[in-house]
Amino acid sequence: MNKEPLLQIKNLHAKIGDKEIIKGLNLTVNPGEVHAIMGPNGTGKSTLANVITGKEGYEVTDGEIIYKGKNLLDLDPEERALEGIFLGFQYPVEIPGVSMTNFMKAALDAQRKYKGQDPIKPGEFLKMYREKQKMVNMPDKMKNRSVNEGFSGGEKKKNEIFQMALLQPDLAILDETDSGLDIDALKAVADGVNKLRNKDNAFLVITHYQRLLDHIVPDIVHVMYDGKIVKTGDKNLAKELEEKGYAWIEKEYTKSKENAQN
Amino acid sequence: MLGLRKNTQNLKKMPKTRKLLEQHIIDFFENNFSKQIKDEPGFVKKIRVEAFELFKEKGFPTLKDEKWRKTNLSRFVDSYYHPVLNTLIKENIFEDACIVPDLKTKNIYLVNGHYVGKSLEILENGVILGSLKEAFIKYPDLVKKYFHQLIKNSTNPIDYLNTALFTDGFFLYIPEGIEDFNLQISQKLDAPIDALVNTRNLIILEKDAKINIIQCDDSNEHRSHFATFDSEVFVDKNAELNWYKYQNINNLSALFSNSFSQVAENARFYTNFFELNGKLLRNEQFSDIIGKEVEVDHYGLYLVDKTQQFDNVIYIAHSSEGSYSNQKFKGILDDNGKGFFNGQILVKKDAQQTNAYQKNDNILLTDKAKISSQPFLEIYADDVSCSHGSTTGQLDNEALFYIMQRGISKRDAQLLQLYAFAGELIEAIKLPELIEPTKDLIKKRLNGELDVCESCILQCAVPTE
Repeated sequence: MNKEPLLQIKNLHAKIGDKEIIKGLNLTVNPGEVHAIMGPNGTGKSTLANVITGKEGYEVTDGEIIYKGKNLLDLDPEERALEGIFLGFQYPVEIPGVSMTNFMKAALDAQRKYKGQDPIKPGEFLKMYREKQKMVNMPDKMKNRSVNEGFSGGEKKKNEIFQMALLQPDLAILDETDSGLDIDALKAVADGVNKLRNKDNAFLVITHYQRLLDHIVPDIVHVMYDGKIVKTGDKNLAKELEEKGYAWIEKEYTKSKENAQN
Repeated sequence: MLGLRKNTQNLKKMPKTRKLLEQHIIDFFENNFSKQIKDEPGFVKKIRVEAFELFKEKGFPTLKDEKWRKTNLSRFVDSYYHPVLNTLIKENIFEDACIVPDLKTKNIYLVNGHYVGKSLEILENGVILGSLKEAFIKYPDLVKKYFHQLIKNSTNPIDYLNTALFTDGFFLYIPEGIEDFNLQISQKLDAPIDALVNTRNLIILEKDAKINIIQCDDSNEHRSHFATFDSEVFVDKNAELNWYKYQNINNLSALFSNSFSQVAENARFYTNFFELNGKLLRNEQFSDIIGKEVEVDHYGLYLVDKTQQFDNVIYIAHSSEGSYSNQKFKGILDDNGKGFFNGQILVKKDAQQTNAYQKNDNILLTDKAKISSQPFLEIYADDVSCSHGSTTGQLDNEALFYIMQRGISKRDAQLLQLYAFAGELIEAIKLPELIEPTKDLIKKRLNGELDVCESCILQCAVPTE
């Protein structure tokens, strides 16, 4: 069995401007695994997602990220995407004038070009498009609308999962995809993820709350605090956090930091 | 005050320092032009002389003139441009004539201010089409009723110049009730010298007529040309004129296209201009609404880069009540490109229940690109609905990242957004056959692939599958 890690993050330090946000983070993700990253607000969860996907404005000052055996930090954002990294945005962006179908066709064709394939045939594209729409319960009329324009919060999040289904990434990072969702939308999102899960791909589910993890059952749960992963466990860790809140993590962390200093 | 004014008058009488081109034009008119126009009817000659005197007095616009503050003409008016009196038409110049796929059009060609081909004809449906100079002779009464009736009110020296020196242009008369007529005009600047080109046109739509005009402005030679293209447009009751224009001239030349129109009760006048290339393109449109239930739409898209400058100056006068007008102009400016938008709405005292709107949106792609956007609303009626707005911004970085995160390159992500921005004006096209060619042209232009073509730009734009 091929157990070469899909993603390996070693001692990652990253800052925005002068402010260090990620402070020595280690993480290994193997194919077939679903990881949850939990933690209070402002601990660097979204920053981690942005650094992995190559968003401008973040400076990596130390450490490395190895993805499929390559140095990920050498790649441009679109190359990372073409290599199979997908980010489900916490705040999906509206792009007026660009229709969903045009956008997705352009994305799929870019992916195919990267693999040395011809552009997808319109008929084939539409068939696939409809299939995936069905999968996440998205009405067909939405395909003619501009990307995310005028979508409700739930529609935007579903739209992220829909795009993920079309692009079939190897590593999907879902950044607080559950925030602002009602229970039906949450189920649709989780359903989508569960249908896409297989032995070759992996998910990094960033969430604040346990409730999404009732529907997407993680293999490994991490707790992030102060720019690091401070605790790792199985799905029961998420339940424990739900019951006890994050305060005890903070206490534990502060204590261990003090001990280290003494 | 009086003393001051006297001084100014004295100053005016003093010999003025002439720009090279001004002096050249004055000498040419005084010494050579009279024999060129000896066959013209007296009323035209008289109009020319009056316009010439005004040009002589006022000279070219300068940066001190209100509507020319952002438009420096010195690179042109300090040079020589030569009037083209006879154009030798290259035999095969229109071999690859403009063709809009799947659209039946009557095609005419204007080269360096001259009308090419059969000079004046009456078509089967009674439409009169041909050379304006020919129309002066064959239909003097008809022409006299309209010619110069609108431009005579202009105080723009470009119009004086055009009136004094136009060589020819087209005359189009659409009789009452004629519909389904599509005219395609190819204007070419194609001289082996730096040419001064003045073209004058007259368009008359009688009641209930409905036509489309598709115009391409092209240039072949890589010489600098100085061209004026003045049109007078009369749209009578219930008539409809839709005018699409594609401008793609070389990056050494200046083209001033001024149109003056009068729109009568229940008529529609729609223009949609795609300004693609040229050193200086300036489109001025003056539209006077003289009846109820009129709709006037002036749209335009300007794509400016390198050291180009494109100007749009729009003036819509609501002289009658209960009408609608809309101005929508969008620009993308790259490199050191410059743009100037001046949009004016005048609602006269009796023009109650007027709806008049104006919008100008711009994207600047560099720090050096500049846009000057000036809206003017002058409203003397109290029961009106008017609005204006202007925006200038950069591409949205959040959206760029979002698109790139889906595997699309930065360049393609930018193009996608720019194309989307331009999309509103493509959607405003009412003639379905023009949509695909226009889309293709804009994509090519945004991608830096559209250069001055060897043939008509619409031809170039035939989608390549």
